[in-house]
Amino acid sequence: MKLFDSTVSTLERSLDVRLQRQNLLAGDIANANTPGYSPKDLNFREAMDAAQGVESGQPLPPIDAFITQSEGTPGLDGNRVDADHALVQLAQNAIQYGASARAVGKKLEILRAVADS
Amino acid sequence: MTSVENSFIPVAPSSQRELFKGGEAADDASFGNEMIKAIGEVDKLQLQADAQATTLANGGGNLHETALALEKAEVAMHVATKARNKVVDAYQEIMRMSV
Amino acid sequence: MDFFSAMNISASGLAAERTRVDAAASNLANMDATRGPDGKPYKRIDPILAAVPFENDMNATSVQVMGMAQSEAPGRKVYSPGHPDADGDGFVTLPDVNPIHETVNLISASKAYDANASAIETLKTMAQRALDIAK
Repeated sequence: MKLFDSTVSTLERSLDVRLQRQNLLAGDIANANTPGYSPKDLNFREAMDAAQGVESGQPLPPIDAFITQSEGTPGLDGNRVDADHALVQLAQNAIQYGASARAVGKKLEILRAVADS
Repeated sequence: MTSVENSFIPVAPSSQRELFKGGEAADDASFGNEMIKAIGEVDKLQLQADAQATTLANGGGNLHETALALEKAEVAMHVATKARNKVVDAYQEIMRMSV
Repeated sequence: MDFFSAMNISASGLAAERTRVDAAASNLANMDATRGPDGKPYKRIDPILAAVPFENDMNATSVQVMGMAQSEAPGRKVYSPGHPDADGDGFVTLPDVNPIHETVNLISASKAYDANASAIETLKTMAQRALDIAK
């Protein structure tokens, strides 16, 4: 008998993928002034699709294929980072992460409500 | 089972009157059917919450809708559990009565 | 892949931007120094930033200061015959530091520093949400 349904595993996976994306975006902000650097982002939907069926606790498939390089206008030193855009993406990703975390917590609470009754 | 205490069932007053029309309660308004309908509601809310959460996990959806759906599902589950406990208690009390 | 990778990446950003601030501050402070550490006019410094892949995390990039470039550009010549460092023709060589350029760098580095600090705060919130699952 599977105790935790597929919604819970989907939510778990979304947490992992969101964190992978957060790492990439943090790298963009850190390199906002590095000459020649092009910002990277993760195509979230594609990465999530590729991760379907992965069991809880198993490592996710590599995300190389889903990393997009940005086409922003380069500055004089060849750097293409738009810091404002990067910060907004970072904030949004963090909010979505928090939402997934809350959702999975709530699902488990519902299970517990029944178990404790 | 028309003499069961009815104060714990979270249904609207009008359906209560219908339930306990003395011995002539219509069959489709019996207590058992009401319970089944209520459980169906709770289940539907769980499924809706699951659907919303899955959409959220996949990058779509709407934050407040998802949060509401989850909260409703939880509340409904609590109410259903409480109702079930009361029914079990009532049943046990009846069984204890000496005939 | 964990929270600390992302934090370390942002921390590398903080360090890099602080070096830029330090360099700009040094350049501004020494813009009229006709005698640097080697006795010659002060040479403008510029940190060299490079993107480096972050240790154990695939695809993540941190930033590193590879070194400090010293400007070899000839300084500005100013006519000041009474100056002790004036050459035979009465010209003093001042460092090739443009205060506007340095101030712009200072502001840019300061904002970028704030952006990295903000990224760390965001990550702390995420970590808190993760822990709340097991509340």
